[in-house]
Amino acid sequence: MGRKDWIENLTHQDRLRVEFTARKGGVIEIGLIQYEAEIEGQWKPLVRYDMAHGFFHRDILKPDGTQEKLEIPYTDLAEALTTALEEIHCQWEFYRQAYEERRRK
Amino acid sequence: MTLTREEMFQRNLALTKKRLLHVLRNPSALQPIFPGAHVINLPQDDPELLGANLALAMELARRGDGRPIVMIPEVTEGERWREFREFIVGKRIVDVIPDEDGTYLDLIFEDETQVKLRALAWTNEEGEEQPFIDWILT
Repeated sequence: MGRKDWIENLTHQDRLRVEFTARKGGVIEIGLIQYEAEIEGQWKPLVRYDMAHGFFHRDILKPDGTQEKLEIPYTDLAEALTTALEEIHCQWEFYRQAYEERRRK
Repeated sequence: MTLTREEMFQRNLALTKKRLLHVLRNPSALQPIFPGAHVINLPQDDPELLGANLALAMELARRGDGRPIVMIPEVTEGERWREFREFIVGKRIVDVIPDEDGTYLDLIFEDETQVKLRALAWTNEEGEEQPFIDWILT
């Protein structure tokens, strides 16, 4: 089955980019959960969750290209996915406002 | 009533979360999604979100980036809804247009099949209005 990526459209200005790797028995890796917002006519990635570097983590992405990385402990993929989506549920407006403020500086 | 950006975001995120957790247990649910596709939720009983998401599908079909567009019906247990899911899942949308008398919105697929969609309501025994989505497969 391999790796698959797609875009989950949430509003006209908000979307998630998702990538899963699956085998016959189930999904084995969350390759990417990335919240993107349309800012001044361009889609910008604001926060990314992935399992690169061997651990599940969150990167807050800044306009200058730097990132804030935080490891997120988890016991299974469902917990990792739930954590990522719950954080986006609670913080999406904060992520967007923080990005826009940094952009103006 | 038109949904606010926050309402649309939160309702769609809840449907996406439910579906992605389903995919973790059932990876075959990934097969109907074209690589790189735009995925739009199709709720079972939320006419406001249905209207907002059809408008989003229409915008992507007409002014999008060329990626395939698919609508994925909410994961539920109902037999009739399951039939609808099986008809629509994995089909690439090429346009969304109101029908001639404005009763339905027509989803037009690449294989030249169509689904006519509209929002209705019924009143339950407690007198509460219950919204639901009606459709015709053509």
